[in-house]
This record gives sequence, structure tokens and C-alpha cells, in this order.
Amino acid sequence: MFLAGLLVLGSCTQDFEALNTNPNAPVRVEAELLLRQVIYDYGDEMAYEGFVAGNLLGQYFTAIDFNLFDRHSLTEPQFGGNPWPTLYRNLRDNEILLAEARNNPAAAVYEGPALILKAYLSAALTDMYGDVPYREALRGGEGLVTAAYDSQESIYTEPEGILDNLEKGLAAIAAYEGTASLRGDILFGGDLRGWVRFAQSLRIKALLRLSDRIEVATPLQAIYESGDFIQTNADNATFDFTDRQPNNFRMANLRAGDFNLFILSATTEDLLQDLNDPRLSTFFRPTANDPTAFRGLLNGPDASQTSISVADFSLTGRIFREATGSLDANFMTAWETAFLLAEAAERGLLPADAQAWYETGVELAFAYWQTELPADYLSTGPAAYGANGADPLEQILTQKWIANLLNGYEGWIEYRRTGFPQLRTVAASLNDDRIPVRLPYPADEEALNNANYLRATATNGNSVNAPVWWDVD
Amino acid sequence: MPQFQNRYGQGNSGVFEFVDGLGGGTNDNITYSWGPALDRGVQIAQFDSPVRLADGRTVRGGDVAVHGGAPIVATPFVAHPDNLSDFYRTGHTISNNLALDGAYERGHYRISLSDFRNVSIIPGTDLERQNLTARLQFRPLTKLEFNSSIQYVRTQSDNRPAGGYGSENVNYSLVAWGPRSLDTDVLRDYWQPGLEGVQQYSFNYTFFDNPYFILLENRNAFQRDRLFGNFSARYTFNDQWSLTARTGLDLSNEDRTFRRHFSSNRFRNGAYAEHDVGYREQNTDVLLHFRDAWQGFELDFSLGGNRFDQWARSRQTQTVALAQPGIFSLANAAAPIEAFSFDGRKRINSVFAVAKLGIKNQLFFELTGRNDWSSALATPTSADGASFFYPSASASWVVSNSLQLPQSISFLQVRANWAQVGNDTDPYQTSGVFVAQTPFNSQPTFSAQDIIANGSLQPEKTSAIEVGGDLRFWDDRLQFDLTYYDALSQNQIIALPVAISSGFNQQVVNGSEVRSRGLEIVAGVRPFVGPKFSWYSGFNFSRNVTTVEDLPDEIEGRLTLAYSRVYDNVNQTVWVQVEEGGRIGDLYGTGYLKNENGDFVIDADGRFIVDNELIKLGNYNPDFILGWTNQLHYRNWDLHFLFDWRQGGILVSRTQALAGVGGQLIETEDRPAEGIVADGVVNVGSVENPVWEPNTTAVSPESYYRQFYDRNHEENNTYNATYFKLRELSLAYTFRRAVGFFSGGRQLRISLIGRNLFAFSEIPHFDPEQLAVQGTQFVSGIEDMSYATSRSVGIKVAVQF
Repeated sequence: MFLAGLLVLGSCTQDFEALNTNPNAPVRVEAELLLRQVIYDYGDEMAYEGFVAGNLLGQYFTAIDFNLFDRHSLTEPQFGGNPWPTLYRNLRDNEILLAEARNNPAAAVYEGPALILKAYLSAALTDMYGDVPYREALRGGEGLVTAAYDSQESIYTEPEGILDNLEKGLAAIAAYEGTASLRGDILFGGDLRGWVRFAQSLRIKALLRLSDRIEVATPLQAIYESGDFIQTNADNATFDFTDRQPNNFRMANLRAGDFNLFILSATTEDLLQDLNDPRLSTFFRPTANDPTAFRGLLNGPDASQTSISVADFSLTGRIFREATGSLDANFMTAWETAFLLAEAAERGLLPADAQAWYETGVELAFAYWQTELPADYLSTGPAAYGANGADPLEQILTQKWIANLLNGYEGWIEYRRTGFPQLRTVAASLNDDRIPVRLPYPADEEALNNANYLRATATNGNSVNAPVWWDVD
Repeated sequence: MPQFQNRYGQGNSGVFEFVDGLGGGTNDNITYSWGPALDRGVQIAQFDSPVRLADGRTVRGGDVAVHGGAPIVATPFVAHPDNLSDFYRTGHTISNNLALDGAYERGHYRISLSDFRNVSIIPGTDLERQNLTARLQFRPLTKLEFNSSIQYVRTQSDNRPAGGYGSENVNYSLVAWGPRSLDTDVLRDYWQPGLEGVQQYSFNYTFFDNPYFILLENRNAFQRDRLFGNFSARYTFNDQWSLTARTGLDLSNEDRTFRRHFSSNRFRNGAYAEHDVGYREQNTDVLLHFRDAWQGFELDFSLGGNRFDQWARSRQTQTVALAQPGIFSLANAAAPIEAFSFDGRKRINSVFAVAKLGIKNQLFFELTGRNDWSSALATPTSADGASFFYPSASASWVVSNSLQLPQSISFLQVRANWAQVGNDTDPYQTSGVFVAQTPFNSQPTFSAQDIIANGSLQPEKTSAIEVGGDLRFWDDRLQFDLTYYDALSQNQIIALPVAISSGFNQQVVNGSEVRSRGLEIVAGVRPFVGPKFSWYSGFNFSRNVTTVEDLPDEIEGRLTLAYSRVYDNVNQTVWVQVEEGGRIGDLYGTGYLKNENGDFVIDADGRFIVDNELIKLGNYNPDFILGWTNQLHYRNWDLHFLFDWRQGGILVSRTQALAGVGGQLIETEDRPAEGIVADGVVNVGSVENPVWEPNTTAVSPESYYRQFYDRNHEENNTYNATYFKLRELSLAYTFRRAVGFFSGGRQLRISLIGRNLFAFSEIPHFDPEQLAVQGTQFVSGIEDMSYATSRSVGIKVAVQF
């Protein structure tokens, strides 16, 4: 009877394989699901990062409390301020997508877009942090959990780097002869020509970014002559937020208090007022106490020594809260490309008409921000090219800076590269009155990837004042 | 209960005016108490000041949606020192118990019924529990016996209070951010007139919800049914052999609902969620048992097999916006309905044997061996690693039965045992999956999981040695029981944090080696043992130190075991970390820069300097715990009291950090006009050759306190968790008579019971016994916006007949 009892128990590990197979989630997924995930998650996260942190560093907004980040203690952000995990997560999912595209002939159409996204995400990462884990990164699945840091120079310029991957992505698209459609593409609806234009615009952007380090005139001219870059807002690499959850802009869901912490900065107030720029009322609201007035505050106030009424200042615009259906998540645009070409022409890197590209950029940027361009803005207004002895380069970069509001950390990144527009010393700086020129590696890296972190010496002990490689003064 | 300052009210930099509680007034965006001095006859517009409407009605300043910004008539700016204690109410608990038992010719039975009802000191919260137990024994034949036990428990609550930092916890709006000028009584009427069910009335509309609105409207209810029991049959072949088969079932189902009304700060259009959690566990075993005794030897041997099956199930459906206010149904959703589900399944098969030998009632030996096969260690393709074996051996010697000891020693036993225990893990740790994320325009997205699975997991193994003794003197009037243990856990299965640059943030590994050593002493003394008067006094001492002897090779430096953070802020995090050789329970956080002498380094502006280096704040474990219990009996009276002393350990406080920054706590009462000079030194030399001089630069009190208690830096918000408590005191009287109703076995006992009557602790603001919750994990050593604990006094009546 006892033996019979044991037999009832059966084989001691019968069905164990099936029992410990997770029934709740798939072990592999369609490429489409990963592509949509990478684009949506990155776009959603970076737009939020742009609002709560990038816009403080770029001096579009001032944070009135819980604002140690705005005072340039970048290791103490209250909201966002650490895009590192978002970037690596999306790079990881994109890497899985790329492997799938390369290993599964049915998914080959995803190879080009995955390479282009890899270049795009990697550039975002190194532009903010400088040297970062790159070639050994994302290999935790193989057991490599402490990745060495690569120099920014090698990440941009060496094989399998950003420039190389953009070219490889273009080549993969050109070589694709299959008929499978690209699904999950929320940037271009599956149109591979859109990805070609996106990649070429990204090449222009990367070349300009490295223009103080490497020779860029020849490749720039080749791209320019092809004409195959983003030229209209319809071709923009963007997707639309919605008005309602779950795909609305995240600030729409936060508490009123969180939203009210961000007001117009003095830098933006003065720049836009001087240009009579109507985008001021797209980006901001008039003060509650005076519906005809816009009023900003210098970045980085010491909240414990500041007594203000929010009603005396301009909160950020309805487009960021009540009407986020009008807002885009921005990857790359026609106006950004136009301003890059204008700059290249103005600097003599490209034989092109700088003024024409400047004016095209301004028109595209106004349209992008759904604001009517005043008739005199480019003709007799202060934004007219070279008006009143203005430096055209400063005008080009100022116009790009204005349009770059909410575009991640781009306004601040381009300020670091070009010095335009002139940003201000913040009111109560926690960084010796200096404007930081890189984001600090997160504490997790120091704790969990310590040996490699310590070998990343180019940052002078993770200083926010150590310029990245392309940042040549 | 926090100790507050009551000299300054709401505002910043000494000024305040309420206009709309949305930042439209002066400093009315947030509710610090850095405002004007209270009780000085000043008149200020406040959220409860009157507003006269054009139609002649008078509403409150905070009825913003009704008066639309009409002028608020200023009212006296006065302190409300009891605004928190008045918020709490006197709770009560009623507990009833009825038990029947009896025997009949072929067995016996016991049925008991209990009912527990608690109305909490926190308004709007309660807990009820009903319990029905039946135990039956039946012997149809002399050799065959059936036993069954079944218990049904129903637990329910209309609302359980939320914990942690954030606007769901009323301590957020009452303690951290409840200004000292706030009259909480006014908040009882928590709707704006004419907007009932749509718009709450509060002292602030940016971050903070009205605490009555939170507790009475935004309810978290649950109802749990649990049924568990077992059924067994035993056949006794003869005096030596018997066979037992037993099966047990534990079944529970819990329905949770979460209601959020319109105008909640985090859910402006309301929200509703239903969450069903199910659990089923079945345990079946067969046991063959043999016993025999001859010439003073007793042998007892068992051989058995067991199957354990576990099912866990979770289904959550929710919407984050409602169409019609106040209707809590998924059919009323105004946003897409989101669904989350999980099913978990695990099986463990085992065979085991136990042999016991007793020799002349003096020496006792026991040997066991067990082999488990756990499905959680199998991969989707192989079950090879699922098996693990663990033995144990123990011996004890009743010395007083063997040797002639001095007469004063009435009993002496020494014992030693060595045991191994194997352990598996949760299911699905051996293979990775993709996880559904937020869909875009209703089209799905998936992301890889952030955890690196491990296809070759080994079982955990703990080997423990325990030695002890039981020594009693003078007819057991003085007794000691000592136990010392030393347990080494190897191959611990841990989710190791890894740098996200690897693409993942955790890795499941067989890692650390942890040693736990401890001493437990129970001592009792009975100075009086008479029938009329007796006194028993008992001490219970325990000390435990757990250290990490070895960490996985992947770890450079410290291993993070757990953390507790404000929201998801990496910098506002207390880390439970350990290094090789370090003690489990070490807490790490940050502080302000100190020099080599331990003085705060102050900058030229008179401010502390941020130091982002993680420092060890201390260890949350006590050095020891000592309990002292006393039972005195005199005729019909019984007096019982219990003291608890916990020595050492630290507690990091969020209440102090937040309410300190908020200017609410007594520590921030001193606000000299000339400012505060931080206690520290300034460097008047160079960086290489510092010369330290005392700081003389003053900063404003608001600036000083807000930096000192800042939540990014935990060092200044750390307390010693030592306490001494009178945990329980009871006095009982028993009616027993020789004649009349209370005669024979019948008796009536009435007790007066007090709990938590007083405590000594250096912590002024809350009970030193605290736990924080991070996700689904409890984290010790952190106080996270805790509720007041209560002192309770009760009466118990017990009748036995």
C-alpha cells in the first residue's frame, strides 16, 4: 500500500519543464512589437525628460521649487534628469530587433530602421554623457554585466559606430528586395523612404556636431546634392501625442502642483520678447494676474529664499497639459535639418545659400509649432537675416534653439557646441556659477560597474564641467 | 504622534495669502509653514475664510470653483496645535469568541466561532474578521481513525489606509505638508457646495488632497475568503506499524477594489480598479510509521512521500478616468480599460525518512533525510537541476535522569543538532520573457524583461548548528533555557542588481554566503508559588548577527539587497547594502560634506555642501531585544505586565525629512531674525592644506532647515531606534464559587487590558517600531510617513461552562 502511494506521486520531475514555463508572457515577440515599443517609449520618455530637465538646462523653463537640478546640482534631480536607463533599455530592445532582422529572413526589412535607430539613440547618449559603455554594452544576456566605456570619438567615427551604422542602415534599405512591409513604424507608417531621409538628416546632424574634430565638407556636400533628407514637415520623424490617456503627453496627467513648478525663464522671456516672437504664447500662458503680460524668472532660484506668487509668472502652455494632442514627440525635423544646412553654409562647410536655409528653417519651425509667422518676422523684424548687424550664425542657432524646446536636451547640447544663444548664470548656482557641459553618470554606474567607471577618466571624476570630445572651445 | 511647532503658519519667507490654492495667491502653491507668525492678531485670507457671493451666499475661500476668485475676507491667522490629534478619533475593537467541544463514543469534536470588528483611530477605516473552525475525529474501527479540520476565515474592510510617501497617504497632507495654521475640523465638509461628488474642498489644490476626502471617498476595500483544512486517515496495523494518508488544502480569494473620485490630485477624472488575487495550495502526503520499545530503548521510524502544489493568480482591470463622477464600474470607464494578469504554478515532490531513538529516557537521537524535486528549478527544456537532498541529525541528553546532581538542580538537559535545509525559488526565474508595455493608439508594444534569467539555478542550502541547554533549580522555581545557533546559507538565490548599461538591471544568480549567529536565553523565576499568591517573572533575551561571508564574483563593492525611496527618485533612496564581511541590515544614504574631524564643512555662503558619496548610516538590527513578563496571582486576582526593551539599531525617518523641510516640526521652531549659523567649519586655507575655522555666516532659518532635513540626504534624518515599552498590562478577576452558578468548572473572568501604555525612545514623532513598503517588499529601518500608533484599553469577559 505504501509503495502504491509512492507510485501515485509518479516520476519526481514529470511535467516540470511545462510547469516552469511562464504562461503569462512570450519568450519571443514579433519585430513589429519591438519597433513600436522603441519608438514610442523613447519618444514619450524623452519628451518628458525635455520638459522637466532638458528645458531647465536649456533655460527655457525655470523650476521654482524642488529645483536643485535647475541650480545645476545635476545629481539631485527631482523629476527626470537621468535619461541613461531609458536610453539603454531602448538600445537593448532595438538590439534584439536588429538581431531578429539579421537572423530571420522574414524580418529583414527591419534591419535598416534598427541600425538607424541604434545610431540615433547612441548619439543621444554620448552627446549628453560623453564616453559611455557601447561596444560591450547590452550584453547582459551573454553574462557580460560590466561593460567597458568607449570613447566618444570611437562611438561616432569607428566601424559599428554612429556614422557607420547610419551608412549601413541606408545600405540595408537600398539592398532590401523583399516584399514584407515594415510594421510598427509609428514615425513613417512603414515608408522606407522616410527612413532614408531620416538617416540622411541624422548624418548631417552628426557631421555638424563633429565639425570641430573631423573633416565634414565632403560627406556633407554629397548628402546635400542627393537632396534626400527631411525637407518638409510632412516628412518629419515625429509621432503625435493624443489628448487622452494613455498616449497623451505625461505632464497632462501629473498633479497641478507638479505642472506649476515650471514657469517661463528670464532667458526665454527676453529672447522671445526681443524678437516679438508669437511662439511665446504657444509655449507659455500670460500671467494669471495680468492676462496681457508674460513674465519669467531667472533660472535656479534658491527656493528657500524666494517668495513668489505663481500668478505673477507665466506657466507653460496649454499644449503641454490641456491640449497635448497638438504636441509631437520629436526625433528629427525638416527645420532642424534646414538650420543645420544654414549653419554649414554660413560656416563655409557647404556651398549653399545660408540665408535661404535659415528662412526655410524659420518658416518650417513656426508651422511645426502651429504658430502663424508674422509677415515682417523675416523681412524687417529683428529676426531678419543679418538685421542690425546681427551675427547670422547666432541668429541661425537662436532660431534652432527656440524650435528645440521640448526636444530632449537638444537646446542645451547645441549651446554647448556653439555657445548660442548666450545662456545665463543661474540665480543660486550649486556649480560655481558654471553651466554644466555634460550629464553625470548615474550613481548606479559607480555602484554596479565600478572598475569600468573608474577607468572612464575623460570626465575628470564624473565632473559636469568636463567637456565631451566634440565640444572644442 | 509628531511634535509640531506652533509659532509659524503657512507660507514661505514669512508671507502668505490664499487666493486659489493653486499658486494664485502668495505662496499658496505649496503648504510649507515658513509663513507669518501665528497668534499675533494678523488677519490673512485663508482657505476657510469667508467669501460673500453676489447672490448673498457665503462660501469658504477654498470653494474656488464656486466663488471663481471673488475676494476672500481675511480672518485671524492662528495656530491649530491639535489639528492632527483632533483628526484621529478614538477607535474601538470588539471581539467575540464562542467555542464548543465534546466527545462521543467514537471520537470528539470542537467547533469555534469568532467575530472581530475594529473601527480604527483613522477615520473611515475599519477591519472585520469572522472565523469558523471545526475539528472532527471519528473512529469507525478501532484500527482506523479519520481526522479532519476545516477553517473558514472571512476578512473584509471598507477601507484600508494607504502608506508610503505621496498624496494617497493622509500623512502627506496632514503631517509633511499640513501647515500649522490649518484647521482640520473645517475639512470635514469636503465637497465644494453644489459640486458634491465632483470637486473636493481643500486647503490646497496643487499637490494635496483633503484627508477626509481621501479616507471617506477614495477607498481601498477588500474582501477575502480563506478556506483551509485537511483530512487524514490512519490505519494502525498493530502496536508497531501504522500508515497515514493526509491531504490539505488552502484556498483563498481576495477581491480588492480601488475607488478614486473626480478632483483627486492624481486622478482628476477619477479612477477605478478591480483586483482579484487567488491562491491555492495542496499538500498531500503518505507516511509509514513504525515504533517499538524494548528494555528502555524506544525506536521511532517514519518513511514518507509528499506532493506540494501551488497556484497563484492575479487579475487586475482598471481605468484611469471615469465618464460619470461617482460611478465606480468598469462600464463607466472614460479611458481604455487596462488589464494585468499573472498565473504562477509550482510543484515540489519529496520523499523523506525520520528515525528517532530514545535510550532509557536519558539520551535521544534523531536522524532525518529528505529529497525534494522543485519545478521552480527546472527550465522550459530540462528538469535536470530540480533535485536536492538535505539531512539532519540531533542529540539530547537529560543529564538529570542519568547522573546524581546536587539536589538544588531539578532538571538539566543539553542538546545539539545539525541540520541542512534546501530551498528553491519562485517560479519562472530560469527563462526570460517579453513584457507588454503601454500600447500606442491601441496597438501593442513589448519590451524585454529587465531581469537576466538563470537557466542553471542551484537550490539554496542552509547548514545550521544549534547547541542549547535547559537548566532548572529548586523544583523548577528558577529556570534557564539557552540556545546558541550558527547557520550558514550558501548558494542563496538573489536578484543581483546590475548596471543598466548591460541592458538589464537585475540578474538572478546563486550567490552570496550568509552566516547568522544568535543567542537566545529564556529565564524564569517563581519567587512565590502558593495557591493563594504566586508570582512568575520571565525574561526573554535574543541577539542575532547576520553577516555576509562571500558575495558573487560579479560584485565589486557592495550588494544592494533592498531599497526604499521617495517616489522613484534614485537620489532620495535609502539603500540596504552589504559588503563582504559586513552585517545584513546596513543602511546607506548620503549626507553633507564633513572634514576629517567629522565637522560639517560649510561654504562661503554659510551653507552645507552636498556629498553624494554613499555613507553607512548604521544598521537597522538591534544589538539585543529583552522582554520581561510578569504574572502575579492573588486569590481571584491576576495581574500581568510585559515590558520590551530593544537596544540599538537605527531608523531613517521620512516624517522628519519631509515635515522638517516643511517647517512643521518642533525642531524648526527656533527662527531668529538674524538667521542661523550652521554648526560647522569653513576652510580658510587651501584645498591641499585646509585650515578649519568655525563658521560664522548666518543663513535664513527657512534656508537652514530646508537644507538640513532635505530628503536627498538621509544622514540628518536618522534616529537611534532604541526603546523601552510597557507593551501590555492587564488585571483580571475570576468569579469562582463553591456553590451557585460559578461552581464546578464554571467560571467568569473579567479583565482590564491596556496595550502600548507608554514608551521611552529618543524619537519624539512616531513609534520606533516601523517598516516601510517598497513595491511588494518590506524594508526595515525606514519610517515612511507613518500613522500614529494607538494606546488601547479594553475589557475582556470570558465565561467557561
